[in-house]
Amino acid sequence: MLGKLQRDGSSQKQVLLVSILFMGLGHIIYFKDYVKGLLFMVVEVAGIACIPLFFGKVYNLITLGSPQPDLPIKLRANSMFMLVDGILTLGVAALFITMYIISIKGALQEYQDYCTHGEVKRTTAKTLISEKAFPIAGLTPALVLLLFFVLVPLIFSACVAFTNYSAPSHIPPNNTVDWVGFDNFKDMFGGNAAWSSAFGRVAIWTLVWAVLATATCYIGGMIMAVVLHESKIRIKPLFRGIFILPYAVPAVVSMLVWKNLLNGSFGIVNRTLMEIGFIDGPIPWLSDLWLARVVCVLVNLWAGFPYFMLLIMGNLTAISSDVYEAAKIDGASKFFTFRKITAPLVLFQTMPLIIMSFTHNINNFGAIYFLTGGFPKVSDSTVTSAGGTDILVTWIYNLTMTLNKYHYASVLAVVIFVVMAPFAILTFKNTKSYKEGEV
Amino acid sequence: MKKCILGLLVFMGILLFAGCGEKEGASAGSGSSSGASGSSASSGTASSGESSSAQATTESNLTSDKITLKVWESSGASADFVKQAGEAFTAKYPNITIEYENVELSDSSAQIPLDGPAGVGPDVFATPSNTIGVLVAGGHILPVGNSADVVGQVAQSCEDAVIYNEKIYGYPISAETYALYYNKDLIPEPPTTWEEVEAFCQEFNEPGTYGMIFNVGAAYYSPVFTGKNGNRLFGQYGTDTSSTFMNNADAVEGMTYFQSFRQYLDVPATDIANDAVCLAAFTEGKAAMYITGPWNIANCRDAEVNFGVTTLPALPGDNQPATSFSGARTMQVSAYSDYPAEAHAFAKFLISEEMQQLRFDITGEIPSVGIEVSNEYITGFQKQLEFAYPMPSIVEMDGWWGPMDSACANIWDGADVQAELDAVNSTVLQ
Repeated sequence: MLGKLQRDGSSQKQVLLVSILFMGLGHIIYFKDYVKGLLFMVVEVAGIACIPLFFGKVYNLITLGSPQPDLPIKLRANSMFMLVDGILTLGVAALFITMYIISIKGALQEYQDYCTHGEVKRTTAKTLISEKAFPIAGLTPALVLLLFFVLVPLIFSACVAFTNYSAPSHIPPNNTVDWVGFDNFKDMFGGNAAWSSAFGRVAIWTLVWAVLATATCYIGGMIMAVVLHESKIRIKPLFRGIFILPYAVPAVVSMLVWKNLLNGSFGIVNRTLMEIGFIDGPIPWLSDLWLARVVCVLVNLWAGFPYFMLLIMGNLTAISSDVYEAAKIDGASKFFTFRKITAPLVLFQTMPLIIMSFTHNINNFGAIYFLTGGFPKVSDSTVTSAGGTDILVTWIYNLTMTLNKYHYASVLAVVIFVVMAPFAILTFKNTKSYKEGEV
Repeated sequence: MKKCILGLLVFMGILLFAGCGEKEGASAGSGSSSGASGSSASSGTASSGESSSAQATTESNLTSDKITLKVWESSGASADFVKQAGEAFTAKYPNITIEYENVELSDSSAQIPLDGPAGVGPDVFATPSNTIGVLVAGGHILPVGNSADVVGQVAQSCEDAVIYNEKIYGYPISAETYALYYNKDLIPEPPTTWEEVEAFCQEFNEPGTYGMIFNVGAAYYSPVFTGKNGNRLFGQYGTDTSSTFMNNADAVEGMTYFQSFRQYLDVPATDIANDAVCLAAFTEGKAAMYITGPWNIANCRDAEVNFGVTTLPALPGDNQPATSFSGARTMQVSAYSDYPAEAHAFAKFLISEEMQQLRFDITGEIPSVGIEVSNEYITGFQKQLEFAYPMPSIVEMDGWWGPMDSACANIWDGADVQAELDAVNSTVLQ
């Protein structure tokens, strides 16, 4: 059979055809590469054996089950299981197709070798272990696990955005769930007055919150670090220790404590202020919409600046004192040195961390949920469950935990992902420290 | 050579077609079989359970084999009660032992659909009465065979709480509702109407001190105001899904009064939509009256407040105490139990007067049967229970809490009552 192949490359089509016909067939009949060929054939046979299962699962994925009101609940089709099974099945199918392509490419590669060398290197048990196959085999389990434990859940939650998985009439196993296309996105982006106005409000506040929270923490941290570094305070470690304390306390605890301290009517802050005659009536720290938002940023500053302070203090020690000395000799003022030397150098090194902090703040569940709990309520809260200080991620929590509107929650999650992922990657790649590879 | 390839081709072809043929047959079957195969076994046990439950009512035909019944309950005092009651039951029926397993009250209704069919579930388990609807829909619990075991034996509110679809599911072992706590040092005579509350507030209120306090952002307390003229959430029996009955004239009138009460408790919803804040205000003497449930008895006693518990004040124009939600801690017999008759007997044993006395002594919670208890707080709750109605247990109930919480907070802060309640209605029923 080997003799039938032309060495001028004209038999490529033949090899291709036979390889497509059955996985590994080309390896066996043309190149007598039995080990590899048989392995591929086993994969193909397993694949064929799974075809009925495959089509059943994909059919379920497409229909997500039909309503069976006459059956007892535990016998009814569960749309969510069908969705997960369907996605898993497609994942397995994708792996299978990848194998197929690898086998065809492998056969063509061997033919190429045959054309140039007149013979092929056959796979034996020895080469299988010592050469290319080994690292591939070693990495495959990790890759497969990554696929199924990272990718499948992500795809699953994104898929929910295109279904009507919501209370009260589309919660499995009682009822089935159906695909609704882009209806949920339409509702969120203008189709439904209450939902789209809530979405606009919450999305804008989320961005404003993330920018302010990151900026205040960073600037606050930098001021503290520079002051501690430059000033002639005697017991620096003591002050440093005190400033780090807010960071050392679990954020959840401190947020809950702040919530109680700032309670407008019963909190100790207002009571003290009123006791000493500073104010006449209580200040609505958390019950006035705008003041509550300001308080969110300020309390987050209190809890978040120590992180950046520590970070920047580390960076400051790395800046050579020669630079400062030169500036001093040239007669630069303290502020001018800070503006021209300290700030640019520190910013350069911490840019990736600022971006990380920004993305973290967009999803900063704890700072909002435990401080205000979304309060104060606004007019559309009754329908959408989004309070005045809720950010997207706490709204997602409300939608899933109290309203059981998984479809809208999933739309929000998709929106966050679509906006955040490219933004984060692009900005991160554009930072100098990433480009230069080392700092 | 050519023949060889041809032969192989044919062989491949046959293989492929065989694969396809098999697919056609199997995929048609697999769609339905995958759903059915897993549960056919469990449905078998369920139906056998149901058939034997019919004869489960009389205690004379209990088995004489040596058996063990597994019971799920929360840890702590509730567990102590189950263990001691189990010993008493074993003393009565030496062949039956009771095995306690810790599954918290709030988890059991989610756990039973998994553990029951798997064969590791309990025979009897504790669950709040408002989960009955979901459990019945899932076929996880058995009805009480002889309704006289419960009807007439337990307090009316408990009886109402376990009726679902005209059948009785489970044995209520404890009742729960909320009532009016009052600080005897600040207000010796508790008011019986909201007008009296207003009058007291007018005298008593100072900046930071209020005559009356309650969580204004919690739907749980809204029946106090929405229950005029016997108006109930989801209708008389809590199963009418044509409306929430929370945006009709009675409810709107009540919630309008709720809004107007803000002048006597001038605190934004944000500041008191929190039970911990209200409790602190009451125990510190910053509030003279507080609407809450029996779970705060211990807290108030520990804070050494000289307090009493009584029925809620009557709404303006009403002559009986305002209504409240009632619930019951129930003992359900699992549909997956191998010994339903014995399980029923044990659950029924728990609502005997003797066991209820034991439970009260151990837990201090409200007994479900009308035994005399020497606890002034509990008698207050028992009185309020006469005016309470059971929390609906239908599926729509899950979607009601969130919107109603927001609506209460918004109404308290001055929103339009009718619009808010209409929004709740359409959100819940959409």
